Amino acid sequence: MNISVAAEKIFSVLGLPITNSMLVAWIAMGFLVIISLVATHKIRLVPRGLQNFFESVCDAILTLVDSVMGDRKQSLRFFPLIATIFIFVLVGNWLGLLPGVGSVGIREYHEGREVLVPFLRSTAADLNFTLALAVISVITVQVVGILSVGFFKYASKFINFSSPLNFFVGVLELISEVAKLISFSFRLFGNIFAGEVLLTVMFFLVPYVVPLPFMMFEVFVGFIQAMVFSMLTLVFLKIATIEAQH
Amino acid sequence: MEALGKLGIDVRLLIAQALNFAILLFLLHRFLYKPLLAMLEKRREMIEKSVEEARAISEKLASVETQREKEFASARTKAAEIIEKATLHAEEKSTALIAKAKHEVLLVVDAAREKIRTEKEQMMGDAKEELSRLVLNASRALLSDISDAELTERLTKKALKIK
Repeated sequence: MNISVAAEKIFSVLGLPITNSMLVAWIAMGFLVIISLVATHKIRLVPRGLQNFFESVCDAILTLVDSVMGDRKQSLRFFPLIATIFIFVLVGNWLGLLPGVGSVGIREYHEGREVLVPFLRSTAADLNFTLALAVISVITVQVVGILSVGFFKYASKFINFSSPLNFFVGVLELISEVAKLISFSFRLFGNIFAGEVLLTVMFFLVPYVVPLPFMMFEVFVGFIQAMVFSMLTLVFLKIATIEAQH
Repeated sequence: MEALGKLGIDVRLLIAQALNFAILLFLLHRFLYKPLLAMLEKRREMIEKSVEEARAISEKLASVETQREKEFASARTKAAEIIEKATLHAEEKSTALIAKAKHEVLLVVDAAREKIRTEKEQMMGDAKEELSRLVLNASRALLSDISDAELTERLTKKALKIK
């Protein structure tokens, strides 16, 4: 049994290491793009099959975004980002639970020990993925804030010399923005990685039946974490627009 | 930096993953969200239009119903008026006919009475004449033996008076 915090490199392309989580990210992307094309290939007024499913998903997400934003125009503006975060994280998490992911790989020797390097690994069990999403989320929030309030007014939220108290609050705001990055990325990574470790240990100890409830639990965790990530992004975006209104 | 390395954080991988996300966002927006949201919007507009049309039809139906009720009420009033007039006219006509019939009956009765009276008088006259003739004849027969013509004449006249 080998547990590695970092995603394992499988091969390199032009010096760029391609990790097992990157492969799963590509598989998830390919899967999503293909089923999207299938769903919207012959789009009908009365939906059927995949179109019906994706319409339900999109409508549910849009309704959720609407309930937070309270404005359909704003909702439609942020919907693609929120929906993509949710769907990508969810599919990445659930793909990580498929048989063979994390268990099929090549045996290599590292520091004199034989270790299994799996070909595939859940996307969110790689900090590069979660941090990348966190960076995108936080940058989007800042950009929306600047576009809503204006650069200088928005900057005054972090750098404010009007009073010592405001200066201190500004510093705290700056720290909170950095903390968002850390909390976003480590929450998702921690939950999914912990789930993988839990399942690995369970499979190692009792391979049959016993891991099933834990797998179901991980399906739930995968959904909840995707929801939490997208909802937090949405709420931060809402806060950025609300501040603009005041 | 060493800690980041131990956690597997690699700026190149981080950028690659961010790029992956951006590409997926673009592709999903192009091939999934845009057509689906357009379809949802189109459907929403159609439903709104249908609801609006249904409301308009319902209102029109209610208006037609009200109009129909009004016309029914008006027709009922007119019918009642016509029936009343007809009843009145029929009563008048009936009264007139009855009066005319009564009058005609009276005329017939009067004519019949007059005829009866005339016939009665005629019969009485005839009977008187016949009786006179019989009396005269009988008297003549009885008094044929009496030679006094004057007495005979007087008795005959007396007999005729007695009659």
